[in-house]
This record gives sequence, C-alpha cells and structure tokens, in this order.
Amino acid sequence: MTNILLSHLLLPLISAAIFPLIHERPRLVAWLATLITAATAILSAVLLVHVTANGSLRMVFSSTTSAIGIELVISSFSALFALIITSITSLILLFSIENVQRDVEEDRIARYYTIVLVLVFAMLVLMYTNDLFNAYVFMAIVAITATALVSIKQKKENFMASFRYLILSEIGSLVYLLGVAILYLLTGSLNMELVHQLLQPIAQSQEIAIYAATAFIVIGLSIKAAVFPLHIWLPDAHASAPSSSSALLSAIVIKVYLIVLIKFLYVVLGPALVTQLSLDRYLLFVGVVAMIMGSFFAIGQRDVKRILAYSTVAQVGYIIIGLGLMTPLGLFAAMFHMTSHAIMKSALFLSSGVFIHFKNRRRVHQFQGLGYLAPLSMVVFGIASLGMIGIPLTSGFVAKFQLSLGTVASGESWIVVFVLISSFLNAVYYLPLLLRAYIGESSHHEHLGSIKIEAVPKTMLVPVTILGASIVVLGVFPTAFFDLLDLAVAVLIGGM
Amino acid sequence: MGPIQRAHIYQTFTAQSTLMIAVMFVLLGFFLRGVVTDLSWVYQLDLFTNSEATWYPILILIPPVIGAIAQPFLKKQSLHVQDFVVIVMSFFTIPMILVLYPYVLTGSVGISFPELLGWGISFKIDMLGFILLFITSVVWFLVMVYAHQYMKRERHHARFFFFMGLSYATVLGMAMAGDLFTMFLFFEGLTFASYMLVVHGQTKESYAAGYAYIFMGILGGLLIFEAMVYLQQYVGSLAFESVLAALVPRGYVRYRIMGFLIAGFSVKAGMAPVHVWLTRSHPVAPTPASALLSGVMIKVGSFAVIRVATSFFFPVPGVIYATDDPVWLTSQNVGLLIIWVGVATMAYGIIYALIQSNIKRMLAYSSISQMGFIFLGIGVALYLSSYGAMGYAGALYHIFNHGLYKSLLFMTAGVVYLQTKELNMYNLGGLWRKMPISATLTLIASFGIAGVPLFNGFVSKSVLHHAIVEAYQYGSPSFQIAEWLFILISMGTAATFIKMFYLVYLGPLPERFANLQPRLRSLHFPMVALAILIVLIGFNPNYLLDQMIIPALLRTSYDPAFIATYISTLEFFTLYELSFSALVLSGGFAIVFVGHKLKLSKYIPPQWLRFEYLLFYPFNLFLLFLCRLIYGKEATLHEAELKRLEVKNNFDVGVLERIFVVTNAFNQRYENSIISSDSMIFLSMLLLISGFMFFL
Repeated sequence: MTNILLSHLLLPLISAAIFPLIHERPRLVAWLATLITAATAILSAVLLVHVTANGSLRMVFSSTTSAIGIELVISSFSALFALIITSITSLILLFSIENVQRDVEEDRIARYYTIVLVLVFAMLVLMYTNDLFNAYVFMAIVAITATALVSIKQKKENFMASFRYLILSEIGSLVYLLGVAILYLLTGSLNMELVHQLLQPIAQSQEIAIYAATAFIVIGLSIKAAVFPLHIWLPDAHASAPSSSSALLSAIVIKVYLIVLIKFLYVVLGPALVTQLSLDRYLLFVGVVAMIMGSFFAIGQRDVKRILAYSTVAQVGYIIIGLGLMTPLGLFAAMFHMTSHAIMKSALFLSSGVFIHFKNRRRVHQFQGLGYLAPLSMVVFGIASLGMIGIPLTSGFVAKFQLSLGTVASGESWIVVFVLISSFLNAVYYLPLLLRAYIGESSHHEHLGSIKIEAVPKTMLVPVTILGASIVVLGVFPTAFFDLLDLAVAVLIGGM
Repeated sequence: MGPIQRAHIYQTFTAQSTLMIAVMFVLLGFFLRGVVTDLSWVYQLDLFTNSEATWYPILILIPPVIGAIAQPFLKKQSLHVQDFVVIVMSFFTIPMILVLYPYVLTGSVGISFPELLGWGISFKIDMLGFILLFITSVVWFLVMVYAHQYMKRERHHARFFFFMGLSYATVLGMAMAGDLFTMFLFFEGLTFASYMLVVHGQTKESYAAGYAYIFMGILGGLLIFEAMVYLQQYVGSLAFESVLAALVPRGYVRYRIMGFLIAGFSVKAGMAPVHVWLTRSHPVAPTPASALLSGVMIKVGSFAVIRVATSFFFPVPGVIYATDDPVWLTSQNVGLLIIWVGVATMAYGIIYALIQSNIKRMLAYSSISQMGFIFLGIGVALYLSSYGAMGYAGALYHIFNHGLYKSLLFMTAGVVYLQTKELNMYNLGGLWRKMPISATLTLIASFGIAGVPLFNGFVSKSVLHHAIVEAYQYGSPSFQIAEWLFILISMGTAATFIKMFYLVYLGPLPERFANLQPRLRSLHFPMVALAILIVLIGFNPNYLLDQMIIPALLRTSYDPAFIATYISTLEFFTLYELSFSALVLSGGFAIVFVGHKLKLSKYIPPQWLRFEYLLFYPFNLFLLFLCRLIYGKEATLHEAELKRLEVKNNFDVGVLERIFVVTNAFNQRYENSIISSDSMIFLSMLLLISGFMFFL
C-alpha cells in the first residue's frame, strides 16, 4: 500500500517535471495530463477501498517519529476526498484539452498543464497531511499555482485579478502561519493530533493564546476559502480565468482549503474546544451572512461567470454552517454539500465554457435560445442550476435537506429560514438564465425535432455529460455515498 | 397533402376520437353498473397478488410520459399522428385507473422504494387519491381531444403536448403519493412542467405571468420543504400517518408545520393571499391549458391540503374520539382559520369576477372563488373534528364538480375565441344564433356552477351548505355570518354567469359577426361528453357520494355513526334544498339587474385597491428609499434607474425587476468603493471574530 500511496503522490509531480521537455507537442501534454490525473484518481480509489477495509494508513517522512517528522494519514475521510478531487479534476482536464487552446497561447499550453499537475500534487498532500506547517507549505504551492492558472490568459484583467488573488492568499498564508506559530509556542509540536492532545491540559489556563491562534488560523483559511467578507478576490479571479481554470478554482481549490479548515476544527481543536471558544457560533453567523450576501451579489451580475463565482461564495456559506454546527450530522451535511457543490459548480462552469467556446455567449441576455443551439450543455447547465436551487432529484436537494435536518437537530432552526431565503435568491438568479435559454424570444426553436447536438469537440461534451449525470445519480441514489460519508465522519469525530 | 386527403384524415381523426369518447362512456357505464354491483370478476383477474407492493402506480405514470416523449420523435409525422399518440395515451390511463376501484374500496395499492433519493419514496393509492385520479383522467382525456383541434392554430405544437404529458404524469403522481416527500417531488415537477404551458404564448403578458407563476411555485415548494425538515426531524418519517403523538409534546411546532404545509400547497390551489399567479396565468395560457390549470391542477393543491391535514393532524383511524377530545385541538384551531380564509377567498374571487370584461380572466377569478368553496369545506372538515365528515364530503364533491364545469366553461370560451378572435364580453353578443351548440353547452356548465337543480354544482353546494350550517350548530355561532356570506356569494356566482351568458350569447349580434360561419365541429365532442357528465351527476347525486366519497370518509378518523346518520341519508331534491337554490338564483338575477342599473358591472376599482398594489407598495417604497440611500450623492447620475423604481404600477415594472435594480446599485457601489479598502475588511473581521470569542 505504501507503494501505491507514493506512486499516487509522485505520479503528478514527476510528470509535471517531464512536461516542459515535450512542450513542443501541446496536445500530447494535454492528453498525458488528463490520463495521469485519471490514473491518480484510480489509485485514490484503490487507497479508499484499502482504508475502508483495513483502517487508516500512516506514513512518516523526514524522521521516524510522527512528533518530529511529517506525517501523512490516509483515512477514509482523506482518501474519499482525494478520490473526489482527482476524479473531478480529470474530467475538467479532459474538457480543457480543446478549451485551453482557445484561451492560452500555444507555447504556454505545456506550462499550463505543468502547473495543473503541481496543483494536483499539492492538493493531494493537503488531503493527507497531518502536520500544520506542512499544510502551510502546500497551501502556498496551491496558492501560487492557482494564481498562475488565472494569469495564464495574458489579458489585463487576468493580471489584475491574479495579482489581487496572489497578494490576498499570501496574506492569508501568513496569517495562518502566525496562528501556527502561536500553537507551536504553546505546545511545541506541529503534528495535528499531538497538538490536540497537548492543548487539552492548557485549554483553560492559556485560553487567550489559543483564542489568538484560532482567530489567525480561521481568518487565514477564510481568506483562501472565500468566506463571505473575505471573498473579494474571488469574483474577478474566477470570472476572468479560462473556463477550465474557473471550474478547477471554484469547484476544487476552494474545497481543499475547507478540508484544511475541517482538519483544524475537528482534529486540532476538537468539538469541545471549539464550543469553549464560541467558534461554532461565529461560524454559523458568518455562514448565514455568506449564504445570503453571496446570492444577493450574484443577482446583480450580468456576466454568467461572475454569477457562478458569487454563487460559490454563497455555497461556501452553506458548508461553513454545516461545520459550525459541530455535530456529526452537520459535518456530514457539510461534506455532502462539498461533494455536491464540486460536481454542480464544475458542471456549470464547464457548460458555460461550452457556450463561450461555441457561440461566444457569456452575458446573461445572450442566453436567448441557447437551449436549442447547445441542447446538451444547456440541459446540464439546467440540471446543475436546479441543483443549486435545491430541486429534488438533484444532489443539491439532498445536500440542502441534510443541512436543514442538521440545523434543526442542533436546535438552530432559525437557520432553516435563511437556507430557504438563500434558495429562493438562488432561484432568482439561476431561473431567468434557464428560462431565457428555452423560452426567450428567439428564432431558433421553431422545430423541436430538428435540434442537433452542438458542434463542439467530443472531449468537451463527454465531461459535461458525465458531470450532469452524476448530479442526478447522486440525487437519486445517495445512500451508497451516505455510507462512505458516514465512515469519513466517524474518522473525524472519533479522532483521526 | 392534397385537400381531399386532408379532409379524409380530418374525418377519420374525428371518428377515432369520437369512438374513443364513446368507449370511455361505455367504460364508465360498465364501471357504474357492473363493477360496483359485482366485484368478484375483478378479483378473479388477480391483477395484484400483493397489493402492498405492486408496480401498478408506476405503470399508471408511464402512458402520459410515453405520450410526451414521443413528441420530439414524431416530428416528421403529421400533426394527427402526433396528437393521436397523446390522445390514445391519455385514453389508456382511464381503464387503468378504473380497474383499481375494487382494490381501493377496501384497502390500498402501493409500493415503496426506501433507498431512492435518500429518504425513500412511496406510492399509495387509496380512495381519496382514486377520486382525484378518476376526475383527472376523465377531464384530461377530453381536454386532449379538444386540444388537438385547438392547438393546430398555435405555434410550438410539439412542445405544448410534451409538457402537457409531463404535467399529467406529475398530477397523477401527486394523487398517488404515499408520503410527503413523494408529493413534494411531484409538486416541484408540476411547477416546472406547467410553467411551460403558462408561457406557451410567448407574449409579454405570458412571460410576466410565467415569472409570477414559477416564483410563487418555488416559494410554495420551499415552504413544504421546511415542513418536511421539521417532520423528518421530530417524527422521523414522512408517511401520511398521524404525527400528533410525536408532535403534541413539542408544543407549538405542530402549528408551524401545519402552517407551512397549508401555505405551501395553497399556493398551487390559488387560495387568497397567494393567488396572484392564478389570475395572471390562466387568461394568457392557451385554452386547453387554462381548462386543465383551472379544472385539474389547482385541485391538486386543495387535494394535497386535505391529504396532509387529515392524515398528519388527525388521530389514528380506528379509534373514535369525542369531538371535545384534546387530540382534535390542533385541527380545530387550524380549521377555524381555514374556514375564514376560504370565505375571504370566495368573496374576493367573486367580487373581481363580477367586474371583469375578459371571459378568461372572469373564469380565472371565478375559479379562485370556487377554490374558496372547497377550502370552506376543508375548514369545516378540520374544525368539526369527528363530526367534520360533511365538510370533507362537500370539499371532495366540489373538487369533482368544479373540475367538470370549469374545464367546460374554459373550452366554450376557447371556441368563442377561435370563432370571433374576441375575449371581451362587451364586444360579443347574440352568438346563440351562430353557435347554438356552444350556447347550450355554456348554459349547461353555467347551470352547473350556479347551482341549478339537476346539474352537478347544486349537489356539492348543498353539501357544503349543510357543512357550514353544522359549523355553527356544533361550533362557534360566528359561523352564522359565514353562512350568510355563503348564500350571498352563491348569488354572486349565479350573477356572474347570468351576466356572462347574456353578454356573449344573447342580446344583439354585433355586425362584424353577421357572416360568422360555424366551423370546428369536432371541438364539440369532448365538450358534449363533459356536459353529459355534468347532467348525469345532477340527476343521480347520491351515486358518487355512495360509491366513492363515503368509502373515502370511512377510511378517516371521522365518527362512522355520524356518516351513517347524516351523509348516507342525504337527500337533494327536497323542498328545503330546492327553495335554497331558488333563493340563490333569484338573488343572482337581482344582482345582475341592480348591477346593470347602477352600471356597476363595468366598475374598475381604483389602483390603490388592487391586491398586488396593497401588498407590494410598501415594499416598493422601501426599495426606492434603499436605492436612494445606496447611491447617496451619486443619485443624480442614476436618474433612469430611480425613475424605474418610482413607477407605481407593478405590471410595468415587476417586483423582481425592482430587486434587480437595487442589487445592481448595491453591487456597483460595493465593487467601486468598499472593495478598494481590503485592509479595513480584514481588520473588522479580526475584530469580529475576537469579539465573538470573547463575548459569547
């Protein structure tokens, strides 16, 4: 198993090093990157099967003891999310093969895939790591590569957006590092589980120091995960990047930071300490504000990618609420929503990528008749936006219902009202897009029978279709996935 | 296709659909006579070896879906072939549903899929669901036959029938739902499928109506969602079973659940404060769609209210509780509210119906008023606890009858529109000479709705009248006022249709219609079929009561002794009932006469009395204020946007559009100014988080 783990981590890294050598053949690089990510996904699946059967797998680098060395823990939680992240990334990369050629100059394409694979490597390590400082290092790698994914499209707005993104996520990293430093001063350790154990005896006496450390770390991660008032870098960065990059950033990268936040809350602090610090009340409050304000900002947008970007801000709010409940049910709902949002948001960005690629339509009013011009992608876009509203038969409904159940179970039933308001606001900005595409004034839909599937490359349509189908599959048959999530929750609530 | 061939197909098509209608009557007659008197042969067929787990409910959903899905694939075929598939498929569902009767008479038929959708979905057909299935399948089939001729003149033919089929499947699904979750699923499906029917005309009005329709539908869905969350959390199951044992110890949360459920479902039913979508969307939809929206789809909302109220908030059937037993407290309190909301809906609908000039809009307001009658029945059914059977029977009977005569009225209005291209009643007149069959059919339907003896509306209104009388005999004396209002509003209903019939069919014929040639005879067959049903029920009112409604009543928690004493022995053609009907009709004539003399019928209420205006005006003012506040000194640069917000009429600038303008303003300001001070945000966040941690 150790071999599988190592090859799984090193495969993207080594291939990233090889890509510059074959940069003359961009298509080959693109296909290789897709296949390698897919292989990584398969290896993650193998790891997941292994850890569900045999329990968590631990590996220590740089030293023999976990107290000094860097420890990786492959549990059913981290392996599950590694699988989700790599499989969605491989679908996005399949889409990008044709899409990137349009947005990125040809001699930069190999560079793009090098960056993406380094990003995949860093995200995988962030999944598995059990070390606070190691997490800082790899978050920095994620931040730099993610910035590069935005600025690869050499336009003024991309440079502006990626510069702001870089500066803000560096501020976030530094704030996070400050918090980690305080924790290190308090406990003398960087291993998450050790820090947790060492914090218990001093939880009362050193409360203020722990306050400070927690505040810094939560703020640092909030900047990176775009939790509401700190989301300001997100709309520009996500909207101006190439469609496949937007999908990666909005659907995947944001989730990685949230997973680090989950680890911090559940592994480092533990539910008891979080409640003692009132951090749960803070998270609930911020989550509700994010949920409402994100949707509110999305309503006013005219560019579809900006709508999707603001919608991400709102959806992060849902996840934060699930985390803030500090109950197994809340954590379960948050994890389900993370998965469901990753699928839905990548489906939305990729299908809008088809519209932009195919018909150069990205403004809201240009959606007239798109349902007949690009039937397949518009159906997927429709399914995903219905999922965002929370219509049954989509995974979005299951997530929303699960989250509402969690809030009522913890006695926070006031939040349900805000979840409903936010769902209604989601409907306010997603439905007009959808309705305009099908019934808006247009000359394209005289004949239902003469509709043809849009003439875009198959490599773009296949991932879009798979994502759309998986939204419905996850919405109709969620119970199998529930079992996996139950294991993941058990790992975190019971200590990693 | 040459003209001869075309005529040939036209004739065969008419012959085929007529044949199908005839077969439907034979089936119904067979059902009425054969099935009920001797059930043994159906049991010998042994359709369901295990009626608790049969796929039959899924099977019923299949024909409409086939009809819908066939549409895009039959694009190359002629319109006749396309429509024929739809008509045959909706015809198939009738025998499929009729066969269920003996099984639902004594038990129920159902299946559940506990793994699906996370919380499991289930289907269960009992007598209550069967009644809705029955009326839906009959009316839907007849409207489909009508729609074939009618829709030839409209664009996007295939799309219309596609969404028609989907709407049909969702209505059937709601009738067959075995738990709240399944019902919610089909409720959302119905919202989206019927939305496409509302906006089918693709005019500015239909888009506006469509927005009102879909957002109200989503809102209703969210309310039901919230009720589902509470029920799932506190009861642990969403099946239609009594939840009182689990909820009463939790105090007022049961009223919250009940309120969310009733508010959510009555959005579909068009109950008074949430009816806004109805009066906008029914007039703009194509006539077959309006007939079904008014005839069937709004009934689904009231059916759902009956279903949730009498299953969740009634004690477990089998034990008879006294009327003053505390288990009834919840439903009594809710019933009290529903009765008054029902009366308000009745009154509101009829006042506005009386002053309309557009036939379809008048019919839509009349539908609101009739839904008020149904809600009155539901209210009494809840309020009188174990004696509420009369209200329940009245509501169910009225659902049945209104489905028949309101779809017939919409269909006759559609024929008038096709012939004259005119919907304004004041521009019509004397049409009975040109269209005698339509005139007769309209007359029958108007007799039905006005409550003339020997027509069906008379029956259900008598039952409802009994119910409201019982409400003040057994309950609060304040319902005496409700009874007076009931009589007054029944007079108003009669007056509406006297006025309508006079303006459209009697009086002088306008000159431009002098050369009107009667066409489209094939439209008449389904309408005649509906008229026959109306008269049949009118002649034998106890039949439906005995065969369907009383078996449904016996499955609830009502007192069987009460049902046996009062409902099984109901007689309709007594002096009391007939004189009541005569009173209502003469009152109707008096209202028309007075209205005509005082020129009240053309009275247009001032802008400030409009319901939407009253509802949204404070909100609009607030938005305007907010927008000025946001722009501050820059307000002069954004005159155009502020002008839009200052428009007082909600028809020109909708509520959503206003919200768009304000959020845009906020966004602009936000992205221009606040975003540039990143450091302030971080500082305040740090302060916020430390504040939270220290003070909470």
